[in-house]
Amino acid sequence: MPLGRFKKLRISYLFACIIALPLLFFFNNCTGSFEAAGPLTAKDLSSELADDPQALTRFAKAQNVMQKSCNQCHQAGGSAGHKSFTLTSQSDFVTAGLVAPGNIDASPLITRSIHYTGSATLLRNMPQGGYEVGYTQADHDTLVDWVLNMVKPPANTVVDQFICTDDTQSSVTKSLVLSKLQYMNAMEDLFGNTVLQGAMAELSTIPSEVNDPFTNERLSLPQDSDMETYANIGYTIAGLVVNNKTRRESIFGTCSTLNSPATSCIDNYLNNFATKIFRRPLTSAEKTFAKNLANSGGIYLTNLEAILAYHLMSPYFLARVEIGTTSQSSATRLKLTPHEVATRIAFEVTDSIPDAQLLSAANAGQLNTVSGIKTQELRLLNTTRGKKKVVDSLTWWAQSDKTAGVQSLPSTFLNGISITNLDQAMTDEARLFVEEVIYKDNGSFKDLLTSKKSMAKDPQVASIYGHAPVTTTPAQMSGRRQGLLMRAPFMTWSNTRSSIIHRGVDFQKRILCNDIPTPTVDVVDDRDLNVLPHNVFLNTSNRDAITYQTAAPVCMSCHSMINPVGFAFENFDSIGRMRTTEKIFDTDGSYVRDISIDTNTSIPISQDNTLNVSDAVDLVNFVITSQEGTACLARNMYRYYNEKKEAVEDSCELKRAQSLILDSSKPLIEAIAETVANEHIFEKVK
Amino acid sequence: MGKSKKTKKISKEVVDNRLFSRRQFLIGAGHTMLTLPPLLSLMPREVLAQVTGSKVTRYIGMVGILGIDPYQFFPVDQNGLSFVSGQKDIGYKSLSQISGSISNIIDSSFTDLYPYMNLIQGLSMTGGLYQGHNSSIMAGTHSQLRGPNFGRTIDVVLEKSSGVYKSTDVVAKKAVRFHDHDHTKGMSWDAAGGSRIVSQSLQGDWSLFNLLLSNLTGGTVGGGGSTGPTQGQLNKKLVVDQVYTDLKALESNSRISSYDKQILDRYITGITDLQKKVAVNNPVPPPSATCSKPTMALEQNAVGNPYKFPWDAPWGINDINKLYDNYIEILRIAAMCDLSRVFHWANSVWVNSYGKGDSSGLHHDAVGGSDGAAAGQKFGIKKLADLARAFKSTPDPINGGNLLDNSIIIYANELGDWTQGHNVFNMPTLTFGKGGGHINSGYFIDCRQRPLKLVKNNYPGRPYKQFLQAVMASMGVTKAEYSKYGDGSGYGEFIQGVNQFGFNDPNFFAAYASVHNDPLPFFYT
Repeated sequence: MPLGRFKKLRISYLFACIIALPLLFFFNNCTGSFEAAGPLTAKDLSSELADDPQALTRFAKAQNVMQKSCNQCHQAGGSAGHKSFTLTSQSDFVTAGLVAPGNIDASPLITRSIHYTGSATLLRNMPQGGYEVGYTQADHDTLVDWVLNMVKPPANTVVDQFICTDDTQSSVTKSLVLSKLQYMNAMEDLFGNTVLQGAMAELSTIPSEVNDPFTNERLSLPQDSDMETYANIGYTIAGLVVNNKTRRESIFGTCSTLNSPATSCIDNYLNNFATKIFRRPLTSAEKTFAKNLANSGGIYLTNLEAILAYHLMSPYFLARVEIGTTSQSSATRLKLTPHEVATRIAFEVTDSIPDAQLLSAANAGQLNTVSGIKTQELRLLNTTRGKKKVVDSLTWWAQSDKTAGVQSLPSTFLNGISITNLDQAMTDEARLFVEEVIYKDNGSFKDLLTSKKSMAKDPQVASIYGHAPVTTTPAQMSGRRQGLLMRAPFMTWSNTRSSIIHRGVDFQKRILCNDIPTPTVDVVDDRDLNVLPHNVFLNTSNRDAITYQTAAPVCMSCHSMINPVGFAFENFDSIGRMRTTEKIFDTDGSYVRDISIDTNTSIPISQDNTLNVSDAVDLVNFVITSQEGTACLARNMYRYYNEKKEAVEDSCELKRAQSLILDSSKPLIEAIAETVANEHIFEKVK
Repeated sequence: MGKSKKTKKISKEVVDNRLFSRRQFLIGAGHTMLTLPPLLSLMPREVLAQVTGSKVTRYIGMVGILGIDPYQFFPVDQNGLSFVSGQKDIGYKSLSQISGSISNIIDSSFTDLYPYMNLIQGLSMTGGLYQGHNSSIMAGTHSQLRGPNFGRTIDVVLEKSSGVYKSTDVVAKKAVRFHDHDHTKGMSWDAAGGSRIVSQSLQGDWSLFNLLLSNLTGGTVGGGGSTGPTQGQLNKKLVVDQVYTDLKALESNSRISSYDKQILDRYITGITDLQKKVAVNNPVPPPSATCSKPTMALEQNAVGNPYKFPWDAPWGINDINKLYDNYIEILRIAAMCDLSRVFHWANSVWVNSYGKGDSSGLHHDAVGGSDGAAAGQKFGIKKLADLARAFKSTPDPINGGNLLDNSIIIYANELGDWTQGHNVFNMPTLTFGKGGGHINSGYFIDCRQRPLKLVKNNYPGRPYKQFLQAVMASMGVTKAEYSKYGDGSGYGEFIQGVNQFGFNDPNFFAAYASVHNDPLPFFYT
């Protein structure tokens, strides 16, 4: 490979270095959200049980499994009495070396099991003596759940990610303009798909909003020209409705077809359909304007067309206007009307206008309490749009909603995998997986990250995941692959060498919420001088090449966080296939040699906290039970559903969501529901 | 059909041979107009506009002398500017954001005109010479003092432009020029032929009245003649106006947050643009106007002769305010009745500390120094505002709306800052009117270069000629047309460097080399 080409390649690989200042300073730059926490070593966990009923339950369940399948031998006087399992506290199990908190691969109680599929190489022949017959996968999972959840550091060293001091506080709320998706959904819900198809030329001109890729903060404001776009669409839609008898009568009533409609003919529209558009009853002034226009003479239908177009151009349709009730006790915190609350719920949960039930609930005063809201929200989360948004949000968080450049990979590397439609098939599978875990399994966060189900119907994706294409029931993934964070979309890259850097940066930023600043151009240029000669590069593993190139202190301030995460995922290639060796290809796509993979690494998790992992499974398992990982998901759900970055004032709300994420007995949907349905939905902070 | 052919024949004969002018027609035969065949020149004006596909826009330029101390003229509060995307030398701020007086000269009495007004700061001559009285300002040059004769003042360009007057248009006078001083430099000239011809100019209200109004006998202009907008078009206007009303009501709601106000501002700008389009596309037939000879009392000098002001001894002006009010009324009627579309007003009258008109007091010896000089300039500018008010309150019988909607009234001055070496770096520029929809009004516009570059205690900015070009463009003059009248590189004069006052930068205006022939952005739309 020519050196110049190699340099270019390196630019694409290497992502995060920062300007040359003392290392410590830069470490701080790369650890914006790091907080002090204790090391993840064995603790005296018994004291925790008294304060943690869930831990008590997990321990009790594990003891029941052991009683059923293990203790006949593993007890004093039994055939395996030297390794008694009749211990009374968690710490006894740790001390006895039977379990390593949070690390099932280092826990012989788990790795000796006949159901264990991880990387540890101990003999997997337990239970024995006929007891294996009754030892089910569910029993094994119970033990795994217990071990994983033992990882909580002692209280005196764990620093909460969210300090909840005043639950009455929440951050400033912006009244957002409908996103393009929300606008389209609203139009479809109001008029149906046929009308939308008729106006597709105009609808295609709707501007797309711009959001920050990580905080999801809405960055764009409407443009001056948007109003003309909305007016054109409004008139087009209105024309399609008014000029079609069936549609017209369904919206304006049969009286609209009469030669001389009564002046009250418009009332039905104003009291029903128009309230769907405005998401609230119309004011008397609004009704008067429309009635006057309807009955102003000329052709009646022309007037109806204008009224409908007017309502579709109104800020009360185009934006989520929140001005609250007329009587307010605070100038900066507005109490919202029930219809404004309903609108918030609808757009946050379904990306569309409130449906009939939600509007009815608002009319009936059923949205005045959190429980009333939660009832509606849980219902909406199970609608088609609600499910889609949940899937959207989780695949966005896991960065499984898109792939990166597999189309440019050489055939020698692909080795029989067809890239035709591969990107779509990968993301489709990820979406199906999320829907399966969240809605069919009613799964928890842990389930989402540990389930070995695969929904791959596409032969290429099924091949990558090591099973036959799925027809009806989900397949099982093999080997050290599990959950949403170890699926193909996240692994994809446009080069035969996997992207250690991008995996590392994306994981640190999105999954652990650690800040990784973008390197300056100067730093990137300096870094690119530090490249291996081509012949050396072809004999060097991806891991070693990245280590070499990012060795300078100015780079390591961030890459000390980035690289190890990428190393842990090195047993996945650039289309997400598992591997034990790395295949090296030259720039012309020709195969050069195999180099063995090393996924063992130490990952800085926070300022004082390092996690030793044997591969990505350990890292993912840490995420499930850690403060950092669960808090980060809570943050990301908040960002996704609110289109803004969380603030200190939101800590209590976030903390509640995090606790639901941490609890592996709770369906994750409850945590998502908590993100929307809480006390703060009743007010707007200016 | 036969009747129609005959009609056309008569029309052509009348027009070609000037058997009688439109003015003459109005003079003597108001009733005849109703019975004569619909001569093209006599058709209701909006019908004519439909035939020719153009709109009637009027230009009124008041050109002052002796400069203005910029600190008396430009806003005291210039905080909170927004900038046009990608153009740091086009800052702007809505005048409605300024409470009370904008400045000493533009005081709070102008508030009612804010939606129609622009105040532009930082426009600079780019002719290489930056010092001295400059009666060539309206030609975008400083050439009268520096040498070669070239170019045309914009009133002459407008007068001769087919964008302003179609060949079928008949008016009393294509350009009306009047002055109240004997400034030999004229402020209006044409040197396109290689030698300078100074325009003839009227003096006093008598001469203006005689030229334009004395023969009016009550004919009508405008109104009717159009099929008018369709029901759908009328509805659309109604709907767009209502959305605007809704947005404004929301914006003024005290419970709206500052972020939400930003969104509403964008919507309001968008709906305002849409209002213009709906209005332009779907004109409502304006009411016709009656063009009668007014009965105003005209001013005269002390010996009872028609007034020739003010150096025509003996000094005898009765009431300078009345004189200017007469000017205003004459211009209002002339614009309404489409007797001319180009009015050039060379103004030098100051009201001295005794309340008398005075053109002899130079700025240097103005009583009260800078404040006194400002008081003098203030008189003319306030009268120009009165003219704008008169236009605003007069329905436009040809285009609809009011006269100010379809006019561009400018205040210009031969000097920028008289207190700083008579420089021409920061030309006082004030406009009223929407120029038929082409002028983005309601703003203080800051055209100074960024970062600010201090030259002779001023911060020069965009070429002043861009402002003149914007005025001409709003009147329908094309870039190709106005670019003919200048130094060969476009309208007026453009030299990149500044070498004066001990300051030397050969590339001072280089950033405008490729755009100096364009109309002033943001101001012109």
